[in-house]
Amino acid sequence: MGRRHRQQIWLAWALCLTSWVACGQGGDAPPPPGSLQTDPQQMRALVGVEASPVVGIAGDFDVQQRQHQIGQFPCARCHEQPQELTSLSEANPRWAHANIRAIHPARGSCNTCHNYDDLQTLRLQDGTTVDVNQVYQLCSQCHFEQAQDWAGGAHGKRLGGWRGRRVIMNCTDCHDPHAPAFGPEIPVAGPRIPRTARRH
Amino acid sequence: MGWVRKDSGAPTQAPTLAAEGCNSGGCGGGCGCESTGTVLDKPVGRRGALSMLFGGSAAATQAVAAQASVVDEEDDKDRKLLEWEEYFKGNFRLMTDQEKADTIDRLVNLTRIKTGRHVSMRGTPAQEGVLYGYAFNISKCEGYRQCVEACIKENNLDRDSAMQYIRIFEMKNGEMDLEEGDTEFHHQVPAEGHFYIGTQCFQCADPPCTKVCPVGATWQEPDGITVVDYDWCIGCRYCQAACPYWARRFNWSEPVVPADQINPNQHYLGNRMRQKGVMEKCTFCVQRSREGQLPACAEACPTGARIFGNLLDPDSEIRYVLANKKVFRLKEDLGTEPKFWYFMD
Repeated sequence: MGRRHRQQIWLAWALCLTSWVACGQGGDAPPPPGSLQTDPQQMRALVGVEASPVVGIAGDFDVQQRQHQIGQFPCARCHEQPQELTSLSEANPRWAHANIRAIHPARGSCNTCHNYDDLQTLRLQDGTTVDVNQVYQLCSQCHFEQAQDWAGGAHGKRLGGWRGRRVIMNCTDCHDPHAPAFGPEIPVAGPRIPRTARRH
Repeated sequence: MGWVRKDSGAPTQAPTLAAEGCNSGGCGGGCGCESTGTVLDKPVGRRGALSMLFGGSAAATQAVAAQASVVDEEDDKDRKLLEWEEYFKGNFRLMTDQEKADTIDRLVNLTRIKTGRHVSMRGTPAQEGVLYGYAFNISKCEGYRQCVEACIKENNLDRDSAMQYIRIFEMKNGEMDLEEGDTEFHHQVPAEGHFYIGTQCFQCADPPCTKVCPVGATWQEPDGITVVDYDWCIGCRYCQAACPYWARRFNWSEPVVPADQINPNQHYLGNRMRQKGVMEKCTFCVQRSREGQLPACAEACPTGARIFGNLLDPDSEIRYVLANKKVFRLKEDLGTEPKFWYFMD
């Protein structure tokens, strides 16, 4: 075959090879919407909170941890021995925990949620111990409707943004476990609507 | 205003405005009273002269510079030049990427001159595969209006007129007519026997507001946000009349934001500084949502009554709400298809 023909074949092969290599190096396809960052560790670093994947409740998302947010954690610093918690006013004349206004649950005792054998942990109704980071397992025993909504996204608050791995607030991030209802407030000032004949 | 020819080979030096052969003193040259004149000793027709005067921005700015007084402060001269160039720009939708970058640059400089603040302005386009949706839980809203406060701060709303994109209605239990609601409540909330429901621009999928704009200053972006090009808006308020939800706001006076309260993270179509005589409205915080963040209202709500997300993502929270909760929209019969749903616990 002629030299020109050989050159053409060489060129054709070179082009094929180049395009094959280039396509291979094209980089990852853009992530699908809603999953900018799928690695949980990186997402947590991005969001800036300590969070861990949810356990015991169906769903694939991270929940903000509680341990580092509780001022006097670990409880074992003071509560080394198993201890029965009684009413705050009777048994604890000192200032520790004096800020707690315990009205929840209305029909229950401290033992409903707190584990007297290990005060650093919480207990479920069947006696299972849970860590404060998984307080949602405790709340969802009674508040299962809210828990289902919380897992799906209709209840609670999301951290970090609307896309990427879902990191959400724990129950007690918003609700004081001893007095969970939101209280009355004075609202921010409303609009100044110029007076016309018709109220807008 | 129409089209402006951006670069028609205009000379880089200032054209002399008096064309030879055109001696009617008042019109400044190039008026067509003579079929040709000369500019910089080059023969140029009527169209060419007009084009040079108004088309080439370099030539135009030089012309303005030549007229600026030498005793002006440097900033004032810059401001005049920037405002001149801004005046002749086109509709944002028709701009090339370079033109968009240029106008953003000019606006950042103008903001610095006018307010002393250094802001960062973006023109981030819509991301593919994203359509924003919003849900509002009327069981959870307690009327705190923290969303309103966050919106005012985030979007650089006029403090003088207390402009608010978000409107919270205090309604008697059982009442569903928002016209019976009270938006001006100022007492401890939640008030006994009442519930709270908030409105803002719903970014309707079939918006009546964009259809009535006579100049094309408002349109819906591919990610579902209806936006306004504040520099193209003529302030006729047709869109405000067309909106069935009273979502649009008009600047009756020059909006005022104290310099230290200006939010410097801005978007051209969002929270940049507006001027008197233009429309504005909620944009789902386009400067935040296009960067992956929640709108300021959704983030600020302490009770978690506001849900925001991508309607095209089947795993999103907004999709969970639409699939699992009883949702309704306002004025459903008008067919505006708002992308803002209400639901109860």
